[in-house]
Amino acid sequence: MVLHYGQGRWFVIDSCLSPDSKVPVALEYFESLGVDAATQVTGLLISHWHRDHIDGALRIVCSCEKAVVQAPAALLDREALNLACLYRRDPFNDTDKEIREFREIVTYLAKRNQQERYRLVGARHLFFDDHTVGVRLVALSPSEVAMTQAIEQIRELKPEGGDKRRRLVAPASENLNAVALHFSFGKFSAVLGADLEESGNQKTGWSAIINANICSELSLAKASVYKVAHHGSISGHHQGVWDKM
Amino acid sequence: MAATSTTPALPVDSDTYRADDASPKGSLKFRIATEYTGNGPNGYSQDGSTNNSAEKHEIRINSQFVRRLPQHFHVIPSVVDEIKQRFSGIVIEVDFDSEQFTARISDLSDPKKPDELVTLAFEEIQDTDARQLAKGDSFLWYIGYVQGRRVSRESFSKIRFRRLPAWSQREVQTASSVAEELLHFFPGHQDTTT
Repeated sequence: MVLHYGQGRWFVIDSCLSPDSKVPVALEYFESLGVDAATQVTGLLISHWHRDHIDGALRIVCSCEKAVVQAPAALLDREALNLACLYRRDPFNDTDKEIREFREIVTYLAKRNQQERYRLVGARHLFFDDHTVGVRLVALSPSEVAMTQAIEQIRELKPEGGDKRRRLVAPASENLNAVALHFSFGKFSAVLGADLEESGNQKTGWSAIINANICSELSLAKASVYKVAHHGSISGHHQGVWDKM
Repeated sequence: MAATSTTPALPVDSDTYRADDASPKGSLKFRIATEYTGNGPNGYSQDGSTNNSAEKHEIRINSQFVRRLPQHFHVIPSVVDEIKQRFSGIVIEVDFDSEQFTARISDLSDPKKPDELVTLAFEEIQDTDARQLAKGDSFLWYIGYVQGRRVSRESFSKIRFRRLPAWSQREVQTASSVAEELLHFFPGHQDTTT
């Protein structure tokens, strides 16, 4: 998804490849519109590290030279980096695209000494807030508990010496670490659900957002558009989203 | 149509095969006589008017030495696999109670198709594979037909797991070192909350 938030500025949310050209869909769209991705794209959010949301993200980072890469904080924890570096050059696991894509992004920024191009995201993170245009993008998740759980799950994925070499499978529970968003542009506002799920735990998922009253706390208007979470899956449903957000 | 034993000697083709370990006495040369059903060596009739190269030629091994060879040394066409679909799969969930596993598969025959989730029973795979099945195991899945001279056309489905070498301690330690370097490069949160 791409957002145009006025004055020629664009923001990219997640990445996937065109099945025909294997080019990130966002870049193809920018090219079709005549948008200069190198200067007009201000940010890239990787909502979580499942393959269907991170595929091709490195190419976006390379093409959008001014874009700040933003991702859940758990992805820059020691455990995640350990895992990413371990699968760095593994010749046997040629389709671990999720973790490799993430590792290559981090390595790319490190090699170019571009620390300022990476930011960690948690609930209430502000991506941009332009009063002149009246546009704002805020993260609603992940909660602190979700981040802690994500770090723990990533730690469990890390193999030890002597362990059988297997392909890395991003846990399904990683969806609890996804970044849901509230976007407002003037009187229009939208909730973008990413793949955030509801597990029944009051401190993670949609329950954490509703219980913490984040929308009231941040004076976020009720959305007129809701991009349903997790591709419309029942696990992404929470009635409170429809009633209160 | 098969030639009978009373058929006079026919021209043999020029193929000559060496089977070095065919006989305990050392290398052995033998020839395979190709008998034609009345047609010339290239499949044309003797007068050149018809081409019956599509007809199958009966291959009879006429060397007395070759007859003593194990069966697999006889160059006789057997079965042919016709693979219709190939998938690359990764196991994402294993249920030993129900004896089934869930995998994400990619169609290698048509890469444009999206990945799919499938649930397969343990009886679809080897017992040795089922016993050590775990999340992350990768496999190749072939679906097609097999047929041959004595095998009628039958469908088949084969799943072959990739058994990869173990991680070394050195790989794990090297990864940890690199991860520490990256961690120090990106020092902690950059707080931009509202």
